[in-house]
Amino acid sequence: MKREKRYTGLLVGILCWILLNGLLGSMEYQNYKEKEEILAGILQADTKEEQLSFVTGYLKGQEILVGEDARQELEKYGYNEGYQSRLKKEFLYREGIILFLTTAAFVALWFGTEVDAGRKKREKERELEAILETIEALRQGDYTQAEEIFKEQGQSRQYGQIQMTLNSLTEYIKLMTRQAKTEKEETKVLVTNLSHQLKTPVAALKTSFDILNSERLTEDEYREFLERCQNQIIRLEELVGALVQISRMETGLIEISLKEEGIFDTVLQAVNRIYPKAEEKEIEIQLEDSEEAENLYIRQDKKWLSEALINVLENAVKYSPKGSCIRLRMQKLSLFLRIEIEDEGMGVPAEERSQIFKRFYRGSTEQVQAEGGQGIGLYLARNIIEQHGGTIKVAAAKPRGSIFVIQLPL
Amino acid sequence: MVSSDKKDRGDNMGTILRTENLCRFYGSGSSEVKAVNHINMEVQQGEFVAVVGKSGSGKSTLLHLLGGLDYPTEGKVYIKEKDIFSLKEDELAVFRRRKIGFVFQVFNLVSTINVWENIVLPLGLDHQKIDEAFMMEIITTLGLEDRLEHLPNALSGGQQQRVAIARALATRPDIIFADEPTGNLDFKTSDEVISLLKISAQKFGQTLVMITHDEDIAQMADRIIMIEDGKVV
Repeated sequence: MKREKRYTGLLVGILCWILLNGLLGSMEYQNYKEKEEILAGILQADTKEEQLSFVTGYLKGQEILVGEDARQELEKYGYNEGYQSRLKKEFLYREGIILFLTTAAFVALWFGTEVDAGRKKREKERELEAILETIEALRQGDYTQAEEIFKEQGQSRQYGQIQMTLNSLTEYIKLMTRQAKTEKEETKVLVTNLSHQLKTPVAALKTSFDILNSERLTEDEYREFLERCQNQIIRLEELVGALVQISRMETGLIEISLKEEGIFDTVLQAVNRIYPKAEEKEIEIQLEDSEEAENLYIRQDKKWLSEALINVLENAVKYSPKGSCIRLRMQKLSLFLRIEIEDEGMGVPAEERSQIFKRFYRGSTEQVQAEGGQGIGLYLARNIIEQHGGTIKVAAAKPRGSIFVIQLPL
Repeated sequence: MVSSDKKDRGDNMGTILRTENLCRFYGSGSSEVKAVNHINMEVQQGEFVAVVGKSGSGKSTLLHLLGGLDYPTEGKVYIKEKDIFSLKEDELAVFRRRKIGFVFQVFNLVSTINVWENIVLPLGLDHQKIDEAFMMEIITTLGLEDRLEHLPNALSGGQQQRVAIARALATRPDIIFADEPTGNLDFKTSDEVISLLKISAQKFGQTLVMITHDEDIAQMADRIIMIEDGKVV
């Protein structure tokens, strides 16, 4: 492609040269011939008057008509074709200069463009070389070269763009690498957490069994320890269930697939699941919503979203006093569906509000510690809700209690 | 109890923002005001950090320093390990334009141009080509598709704030600084806006540093830094 361009340029150059020289050459030749005509014309005149009229005629721009005999006269006076007359010499000399100048000019131009092209090519090569180096360094894990963000003076805009793209690419690679590393770290931490969590109840169970096995106990003592074992097994069961859930979620085994489904149904499902526990404590669950909200369709994984709602409701029931009321409100806002779950319980102390959604976090108050639980219900809820592109937070209810605010994108 | 906080893992490769002994003092002698007093803090890439403090605690001043909008009396700010105050003024301006997005309490929209023009304004200033697909992604995430031709004063407060957020996201900055982004909004709209900010930042892989006096709003952040009298508490 480039070669064609060069040859086209050369061809065009040569054509121009030919044209120019042709033009100038024929002008010079005309000039030279005209001079001859003038001389011949003057010679041709017999009288001074004829001379004058010829000269004035010429000066006025009249066409010169010179006869054959006039040329013969010129010849007679020492001019002939082969002889290098002054006029001819002059003509050839001037032609020579013109040819030389035009050729020199074109050669210089050609040379100049070649040099310029060469320079541009070298610069391009340098830029490509630099880019290649950066990419090579990137491949080997060296990010420093790609982090230059400023354009140097005089580089092409494209080069600047490539630099910026390389910069973004570097960031992406760093991010991926870091994410992979973090995932690995998180799995390590998870495994540590799990083994830690399981150790205590298992040890307690083991102790109880040992006692049952070895000691001589009374009927009552026997039954007491059996009951303890049973309780511990139930707790262990709950714990294992919770831990399996977490580890499946953390390691990506749980796939949340979002489909457009009616949200009201999901909410009802959750409420129905929690109802028995609420009934036990004589807690009333009130549902406040608008017709709008009832007919709303939201992208959700019904199974998991209702799990999340159940966890929050469970929390509300757990920490609400007997006979109180839990209010569930749904409201459609401009970009989100806002779900509020309000209880009349002990509330969450201000400093713990940002902590309660963290894995294994359990509140510090006595009541929370007494209730038991794994500290993962709210953690899972937030995880699920965030995977739906939503958010959850808690605020204080007046005069007491908590409002959990869940926002799901429409 | 073993914590799973990312902060505790000490992973330095991901630090995108770091301050060293940052100070901003006004006045001198007995009337000297130490707005920011020897603050050392770190933010990891992709984190959502809330800086919480009462009015006058220095949090706004801190934000201005972090974003390179004000020069410190002492100390340094490193963004991606680059000392931003060692840059020349026009270099700093370019750096800010490309790496940082701002969302303020006052929406700062240009009232004589429409929503779309407001959003792509920073791109035009930097002579960048507009990636239409990416712009539409931001616009749909923030629910502004139907408002692109409107002028700012035809929008509600919440909508205007969303435009401000879209504008901050348009240049694909690495960090977004938000100063009381919900200051003028009612609490339900505030919740919406914060959720949007959080989700957008997550979606586009950005770090979010938000200043607020409202602890409830701060809750949605990954980490909270409390500020009092110019110091981290």
